[in-house]
Amino acid sequence: MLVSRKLLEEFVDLSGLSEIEIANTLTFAGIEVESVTKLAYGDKLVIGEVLECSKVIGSDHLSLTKVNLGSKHGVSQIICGAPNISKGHKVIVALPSCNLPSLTIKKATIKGIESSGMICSLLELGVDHKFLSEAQVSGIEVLPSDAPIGEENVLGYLELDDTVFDVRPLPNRSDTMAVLNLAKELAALFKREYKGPKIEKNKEEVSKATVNSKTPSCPLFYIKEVYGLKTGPSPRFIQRYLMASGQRSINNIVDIGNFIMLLTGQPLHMYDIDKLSSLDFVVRDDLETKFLALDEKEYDITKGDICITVDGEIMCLGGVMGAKSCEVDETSTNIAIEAAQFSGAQIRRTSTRLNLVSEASKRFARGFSGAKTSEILQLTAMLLRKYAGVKKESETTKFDTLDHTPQVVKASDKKINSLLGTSFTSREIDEVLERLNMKIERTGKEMKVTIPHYRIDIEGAPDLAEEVIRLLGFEHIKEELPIMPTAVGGRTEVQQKTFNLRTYLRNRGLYETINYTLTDKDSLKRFDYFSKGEAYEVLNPMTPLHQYVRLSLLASLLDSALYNYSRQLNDFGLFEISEVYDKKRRNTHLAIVLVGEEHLQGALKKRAYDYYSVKGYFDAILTELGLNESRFKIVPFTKSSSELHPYRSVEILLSNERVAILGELHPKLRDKMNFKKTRVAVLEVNLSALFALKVSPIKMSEIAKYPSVSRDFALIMDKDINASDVLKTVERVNTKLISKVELFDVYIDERLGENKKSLAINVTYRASDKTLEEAEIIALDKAIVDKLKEKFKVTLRDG
Amino acid sequence: MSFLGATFLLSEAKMEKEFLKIEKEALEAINLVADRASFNEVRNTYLSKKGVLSDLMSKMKTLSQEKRPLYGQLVNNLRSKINEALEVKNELLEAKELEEQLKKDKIDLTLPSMSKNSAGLNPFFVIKDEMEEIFISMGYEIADGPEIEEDHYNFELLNIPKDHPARDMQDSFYFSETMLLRTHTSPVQARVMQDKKGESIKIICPGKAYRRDNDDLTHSHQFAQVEGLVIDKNITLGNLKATLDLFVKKMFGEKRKTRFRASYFSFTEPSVEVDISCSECDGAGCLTCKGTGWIEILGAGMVNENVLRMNGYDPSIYQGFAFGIGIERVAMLRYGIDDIRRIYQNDIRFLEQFRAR
Repeated sequence: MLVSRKLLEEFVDLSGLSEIEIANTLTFAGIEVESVTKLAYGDKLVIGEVLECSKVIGSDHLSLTKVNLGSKHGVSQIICGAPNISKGHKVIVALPSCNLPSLTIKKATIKGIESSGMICSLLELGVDHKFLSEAQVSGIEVLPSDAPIGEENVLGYLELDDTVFDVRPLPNRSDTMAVLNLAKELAALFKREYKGPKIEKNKEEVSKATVNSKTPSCPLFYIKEVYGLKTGPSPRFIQRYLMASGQRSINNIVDIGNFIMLLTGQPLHMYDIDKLSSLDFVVRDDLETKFLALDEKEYDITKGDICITVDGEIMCLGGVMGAKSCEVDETSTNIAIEAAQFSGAQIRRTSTRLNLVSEASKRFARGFSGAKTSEILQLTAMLLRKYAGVKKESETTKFDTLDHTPQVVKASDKKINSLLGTSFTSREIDEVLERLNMKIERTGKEMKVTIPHYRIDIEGAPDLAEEVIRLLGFEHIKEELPIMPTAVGGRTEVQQKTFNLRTYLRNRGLYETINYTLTDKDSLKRFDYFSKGEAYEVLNPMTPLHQYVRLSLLASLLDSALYNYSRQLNDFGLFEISEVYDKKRRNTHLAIVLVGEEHLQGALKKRAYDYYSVKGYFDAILTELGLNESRFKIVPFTKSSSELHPYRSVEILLSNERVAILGELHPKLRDKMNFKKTRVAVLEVNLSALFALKVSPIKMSEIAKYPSVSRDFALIMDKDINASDVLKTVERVNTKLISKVELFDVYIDERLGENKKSLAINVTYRASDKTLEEAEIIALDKAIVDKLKEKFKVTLRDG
Repeated sequence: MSFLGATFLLSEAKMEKEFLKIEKEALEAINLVADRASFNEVRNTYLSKKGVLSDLMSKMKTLSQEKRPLYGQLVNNLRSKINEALEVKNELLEAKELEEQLKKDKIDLTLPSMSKNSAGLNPFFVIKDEMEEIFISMGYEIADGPEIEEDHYNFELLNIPKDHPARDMQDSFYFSETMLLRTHTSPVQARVMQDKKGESIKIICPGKAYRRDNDDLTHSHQFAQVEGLVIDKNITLGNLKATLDLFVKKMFGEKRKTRFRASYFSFTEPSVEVDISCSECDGAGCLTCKGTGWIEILGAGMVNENVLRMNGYDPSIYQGFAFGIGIERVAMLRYGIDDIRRIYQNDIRFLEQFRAR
């Protein structure tokens, strides 16, 4: 909201206070001042009279003038480009070195002629375009003929010597959207006196109106009739104050309505009495019809919209816009003025729906006090009498269901000080609250504070505490860390595990990413291997790209990978740990994407990322979490037909529940995504399922005392037999004596036979209680070979 | 060899002289050895079965009994002299051979190493982790809550009743009349309070939040906050100030100052906006702080009595403070990141810049 300093000064003495001081104080008190601007500016101006004016030879628009600037400045020769310059005009001259909002004047030589100064338009002094006529914009300002030659206080003469504060009150301080309340606030902040406008009452006739509201959305509805008015231009001071507040002057009637809203925060609506069938106003919110508004557009009215009706016809969409049919115009002489309270929520709904947000609707939406509505109407009538020729006015007809008893808040010094961490005395507290026009009644340690009607935001002791600290200053707070019973802080087990995994993956060289939760319909289906229920769909998406809550992390992580790949990064790994939601589950997932090659020794030794790389990460994750791989079942991943390589991907099951998928990207998808020929390996794990697994506590076991025996076996078998099956089978031959089974060579050669391969394994035997004897070793060898022959039909290679 | 003719005829003195001569020749020969082949040759010449010393030994039986002891002694002396010289030579040769072997192992010491570097850090997580550490060190627990939230928790229990402007459909992502993506991490306040049922509370909750903002330099429809909540019997605004001041000093440096400005949030009263002194100009005023010397960093306040009441805490007994810090905001300030979208782009060229220092 734009507020004129001069207007404020009509009600509170701000002398001796700089604009910056005022702005800072307001901002600290919670009424942010966004900007401070001069209404117009020029620091070396003088009023002059054009004595001579002739065309400059060789130019089609320049004029050479001689301007009389009075006794102090004499006569100056000035070149002027304005079309409306003429001999005898009184004009505004900016002297050399004068600073204007967008330029500094210098002596100049134009077309060989010396020019000292500039004849100005109001636009050049910084007056906003919208307040000026076309002639004022295209030409210089021509002053009245009685303008005093030589006058240096030009802005004062023009009544443009004002400063405008752009004020953004906090949402709870809508009261300060009224100049009178802002003046009260300043009075309190600077300990100055507030002087409200004097209302001169006139004789009131009996009202012809009846008013009624049939909706709780309109708890207060007042009407006052005025008769015999005449439209015309507004008095100069109202025009200037409206201009400083960013509003254009229309005519005295409209301007007075706007001026009252500016002062009091109460929007008014005016009806042309002669265009109404009666003065029986009924407020309803149950209509569904069409409505022709002042802007000559037709709007659909739906249930809930607050309608002011007369004899069944809508005459105003309450708080939003009046009807065309009873519009006040230049011919109007008798009007009914409405001042009402409307539900902020409803006004917000209606004005947003119809795209009719206005200064008035904004004020209703935020709310204000209705306690002084009668006085506001009296003030309005007074201005209309003074400046619009009103002869006769009615008493105010009221519908009012509001309780106007002032709010009383209970508090105590102790509560206020203990909330703030201060030690203000009763006197200090009372002094502040009294400055804010509150009345304090103390009984013992208790205080009852009567709140002025306009402070609709104050409900309890904490609000009073805020007022106290706001006015006395936050520097009075005693800074002290909380003293509380000692409690153990820190992460939960799951949080710590997540943290550890993130650290591990980063240390392995993978970049940690963060992707958007919301995704598009197509991406939703990609890598959706874990969802149990429907995806959450946003009812009101901003873009189809952010319409659904993602079901997997891989889809977006792959997009991040592609983003980097297409920026000439070829070898890298990314990961993300995040929650994933559908309508049936909320789980933490981890996804990894590996692109290109792993650099083992710079680019000198590289190894292409493949299935084994991501499998390696999975194994490492299990190790980090202290889980044994034997708890999981690893099976080829058959569900994906097009996203993962059919022979290089697996799913990992935990009691038949999928907890991870991993493998290489299907070459077709890889090419489609434009990873060219680069291999991409991916992994997605449901970490929540892993976190939920119980891990047995660590117990030290005896370190083996007796020597172990190491035996190698070279086995030939069918190519399709899984190495892991072979290793597991060997382990199970004698779980007591076989302590380790390791694969150390895989060899495929035609000479082994068709579809055959050779596995070389190393088996370690060890007994915990003795050194194994030759006979036992031979027996173990035989048991292993027999078992493998029986189960996999292996043959031994060269003994 | 010249002396082999008639040894048995030699006098003792002559015999000794002959041996000295042989010794001299042998030592000279050993001395001349330069490689393993000539070493072996010299050793064979003297020490093999058919070598000089065997030959000398075999001559013994031709001598008279009296001469034999001396002769034997001379042969043994000679053998040990030669052995000694060969041993010395052998060591020299071995050292030379090792050196040659090592030379063959010579590599380019400037080739890339086998190091496995950790990745660049994501500034978002650096800040999040650091904030957690700071508050954990002050004894805070880390709480969390669902991102898909009921409006009851997201609004009602935080003193934002139906029809409040903050609840406009157009500001939040709704899934139904009652479910939405949380618009702040504050619903965790309500959840923790209901959980703790009247015990004292000291938590922070880092997490994602969502609002219907267009993504631009400073706005993101997805962002993250660290929510803080402390409730006990005597918690004051002064406690909040000291806590945030400590946090700011740890996060931005010991020289940073904090100040409070009056503000408004539905779920706190009194409410404050917290500014920190600008690190660029140290409060003098510059472009970063728009000439004010201060930068707005977070919102905070004393937990609103209605919020306490609704969540099971009697405001006549309990007081608390709450704050909400934007993780991206802190990251952007600390690292001079000019565009919040960079944090969600995952560009490695960006992430690469954030390494341990």
